Amino acid sequence: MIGKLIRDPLLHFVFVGAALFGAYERVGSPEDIASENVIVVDRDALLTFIQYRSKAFQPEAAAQRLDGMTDADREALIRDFVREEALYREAEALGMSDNDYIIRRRSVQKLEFIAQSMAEQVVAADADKVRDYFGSHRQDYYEEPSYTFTHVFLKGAEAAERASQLREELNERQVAFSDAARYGERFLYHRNYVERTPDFIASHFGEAFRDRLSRLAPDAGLWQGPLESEYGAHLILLSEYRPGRVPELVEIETRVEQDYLRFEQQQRQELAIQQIVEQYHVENRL
Amino acid sequence: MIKRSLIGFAVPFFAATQAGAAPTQLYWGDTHLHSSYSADAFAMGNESADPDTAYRFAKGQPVIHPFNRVRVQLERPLDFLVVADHAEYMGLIHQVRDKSPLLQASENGRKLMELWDGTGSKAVYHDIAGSVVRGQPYADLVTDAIRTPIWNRIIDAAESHNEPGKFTAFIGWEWSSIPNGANLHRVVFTDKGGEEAKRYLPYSSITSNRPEDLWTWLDETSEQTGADFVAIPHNSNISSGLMFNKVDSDGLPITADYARTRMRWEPVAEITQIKGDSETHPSLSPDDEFADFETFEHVMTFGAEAATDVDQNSDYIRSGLKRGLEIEAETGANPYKFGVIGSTDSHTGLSTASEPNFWGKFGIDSIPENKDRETSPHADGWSMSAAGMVAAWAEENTRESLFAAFKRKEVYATTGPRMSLRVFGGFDFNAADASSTELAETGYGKGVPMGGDLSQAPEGKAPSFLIHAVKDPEGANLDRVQVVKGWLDAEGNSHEKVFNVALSDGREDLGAETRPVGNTVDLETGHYSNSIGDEEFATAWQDPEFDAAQRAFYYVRVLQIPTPRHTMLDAVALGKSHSEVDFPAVIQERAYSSPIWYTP
Repeated sequence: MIGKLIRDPLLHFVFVGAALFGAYERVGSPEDIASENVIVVDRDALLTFIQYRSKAFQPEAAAQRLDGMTDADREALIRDFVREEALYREAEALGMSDNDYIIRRRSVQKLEFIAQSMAEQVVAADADKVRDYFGSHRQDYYEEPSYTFTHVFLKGAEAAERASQLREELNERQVAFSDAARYGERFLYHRNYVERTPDFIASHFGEAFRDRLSRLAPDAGLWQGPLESEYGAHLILLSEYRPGRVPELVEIETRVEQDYLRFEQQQRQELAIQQIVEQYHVENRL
Repeated sequence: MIKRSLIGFAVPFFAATQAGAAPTQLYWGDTHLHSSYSADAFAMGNESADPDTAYRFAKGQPVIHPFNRVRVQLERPLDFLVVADHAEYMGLIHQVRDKSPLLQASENGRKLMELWDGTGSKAVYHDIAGSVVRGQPYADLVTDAIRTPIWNRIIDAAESHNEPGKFTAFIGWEWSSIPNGANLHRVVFTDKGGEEAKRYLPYSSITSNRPEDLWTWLDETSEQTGADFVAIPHNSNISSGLMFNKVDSDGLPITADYARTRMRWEPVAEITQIKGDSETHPSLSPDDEFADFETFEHVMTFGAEAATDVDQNSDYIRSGLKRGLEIEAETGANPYKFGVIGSTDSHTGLSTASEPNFWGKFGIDSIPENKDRETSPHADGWSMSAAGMVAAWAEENTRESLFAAFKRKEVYATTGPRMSLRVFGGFDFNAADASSTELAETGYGKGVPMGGDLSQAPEGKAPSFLIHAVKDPEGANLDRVQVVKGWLDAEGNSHEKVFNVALSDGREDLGAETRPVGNTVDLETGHYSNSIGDEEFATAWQDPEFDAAQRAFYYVRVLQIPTPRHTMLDAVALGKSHSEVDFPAVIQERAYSSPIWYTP
C-alpha cells in the first residue's frame, strides 16, 4: 500500500507542491519582508530556486548540486536569486501583478510545469500497454509507398506518338534499366528514381504524372507508357513498387514505446490538472 | 592478377572550352552571403554593404569595402548569388540606427534606440542576440509590421539584379537555429520571384528551432504560394553531434517519414566554407592522408555549456552519407542522400573565396592587423578559411534552370578555385570515352551525372565513372583525382575507402605511399609556380571491389598543388615569420563532387 503510494506521481505532485510552497512560506512572503528591504538567502531558498531553474523537483538532487558547487558557482547562483527576488518585489510594490494577464498566465504555466515534471517521472513501459497503444495509433506509423523506375524522356511536337513507337523498339530490344540513358532526351531532373515517394516524384514531374504512375503495375522487363508530365512524354520501366504500409511493432518498437510514454505522461498531467479544476464549482451566468 | 583500374588520359585542352555545344554549362555562385542586414555582420564592421551592394559586387562592379573603405572588385564575376541574411531580427539594427518610426511604438524598440545612443551598435547586437540565446526573444520586435519592410527591400534588391541569361539573383535567407550553441543553421532559397516572396515572411528560429518545423512550414508555404524551396544545412562541423544524427529533434530514432521529408527539402549540404571544412575529420578517416583539411572545431556556444560526448559521425559529410546508408537499410529511406556545395558565409556583403583576394569573414578581420580579433567564439581571423564556391551544371543561367540543378544535385563544391569537374556514373564507360571530344554527351548518353542514382547492375558488371577535371584557368595545376567510396556490408555496418584514380606528373599509384606532388611555394614572396601538377585529367575508373548486393555511394575529390594560404600572405605583409602564425603556410585547395549512389 505504502509502496503504491510512493510510486503514484499524483501524490508526488501534492507532496512536492506542499514542500515547495512550505519552503516559500518559511522564506516569508514578499510583502512582509519588503518593508524591511531584506532578502533572506538561506539553504531552503536556494534549494527551491535550484529546483525551479532546473525544472526538476527533487530536493535531494538539488541539495547534492548545491553542496557540490564551487564558491564561484554558488556566488553566481546567489546573485541570480537576489536579482530575481529584488525585481519581483519591485514589480509587486509597483502593483504590476494586479490584474495582469501575463502574470496570471505565468502562474497557470507554473502549475502546469510542476504537473508535467511530475508526470515525466513515470518510467516503465509495460509491453502489453505498448501493444495496445500501437493498436489504437497504427495510422501514426504509416509509411508512404515508394517507386523505383527509370525513364526515357521525349519532348516537343508529337512527343507522345514518337514515344509510342520508341516503346515498341525498347521492348523488342529488351533495353535494360542501366541502358535507359542511351535513349531519348535530357530531362530536367533525374534519369533513375530509386525508392522515391509519390510526393517526391510529384515535385519533379507534376501531380498529374504521379497519379498516372500510380496506375502502372511494376514489371522490370516491360517498358510502359508513354506517361505525360508537365515537360513531355515518358516511357517508364517500373521495376519496383512498395505499397504504403504500417510496419510491424517489432520493427519500430523503440519509437512506439517512447510515443506511448509521452502519451501516458500527457494523460497524467491532464488528469492532475483536471483534479484541480474539479475542486471548483463552476457557476455559469451566461 | 588484378587489372589496374587507374587509367589516365591526356586529352586536348580545348575539349573543355568547346562547351558551347555541351548539354549543360558550368555556372559559379555563392548561396550563403550575409549583408549588413544580419545583426552580427553589422556589429562587426559591416554597416554599409547591404543586399544591393552584395549583388553589385557579385556582378563584377566595384564597391566600397564596408570596413576598410577601399574600393574592391571581382575580376571574375559570379553567375548567381543568394543573399542569405539571418531571419532573426533581420535588418533590425538598421531600423534602430535610422530611428524607424515603426520602433517607436515598441517598448523594446525604444530601449534599443536608447542603447544605440548610449553605447552603439555592438551593445544593441549583444542585447538582441542575448534575447535569442536566452530563449526570450522580444515579441514586439518580430512583428510583421517591423519585418515586412526589410524583407521587401531584400526581395527588391534580388528582383532588380536578376537578369535571366546573364546573372541569377535568388531570394533567400538563413534560418539560424542554434540550440545550446549547436549549429543547425539552414540557408533557404526559392525558385520564384518577388510576387510569391511577398506573400510570406522568412521563417526564423524564433518561431521554432526544430528542423522538422521548418520543413512543415516549407511544405505549407509551397502549397499556398506555388514557390518551391531548397534548404541547405551548413557547418555540420560545429553542430555538436546534431546535424546528421541518428535521432530526430525529440531524440527518437529517425523514421522513413523523417528521411523522406528531409530529402524533399534538403537535396544538398554545404561541405566547405569560411568556418572550416566539413568533409571529414582525421579521427573519423584515419586512413585518409588528406582528411585534416581546414579543420575548424570552435562551437558557437555563446556562454551555453558545451556538449560533451559528441558523436563526431554526426558532424561530417562523409560519415553522414555513410550513416544515411545504414538508416536506409533499417527503415527503407535514406535521410542523408544529399549532394554537396561550397559557399562563403561571408558577412561582409562581398563573396570572396580566393586566398589572395579574401576580404574577411567579418568586416573587422578583413585587414591583417585585425586577424587576432576574436570574431566568432574562440576563433579569430587566422583560423578562418578563404573558402566556399558552388558550381552548378545547368542548361542556362536562370532561376528555373539553376534551381533544377540543385534539386537534381548536379552541383559541386570547391574551396575557392574554379576547377571544372564532370562526373558520370554508369556500367559501360571505358578509356575511349575519356578521350572523346564529346565527353559530356557521352556521359549523359551512357550514364547519370553527379547527384544521380544507379540501380540493378547488369550481371557481372561494376559501376564505372567518367571523370573530367580541369584546373582553374587562372589558378594552380592539379595534383590528383580521387574517388571516395562508402558502402554498407551485410551486417549493416558502413565503410569508406579513398582511391587515387589519376595522378599528375606520371606518378605511380602506391596508395598512401604515393609520392607527394611537391611544393613550389616561396615562403618569402608568397608566389608559386605551375611547374608541377597537371592541367587536366580525364579518366574512366571502374570500382575494383564492387559487390552488387551492397548499397554504396561514390564522390570525387580533386586536389590542387600547394598554394599559399591567405594567412601566409598576411604574415608576409605584416613582416612576421610564418612560424609566429599558428596556421599552415600552404593549402591544397580542392573540389568535391556530389555523390552518385548505387542501390541493389
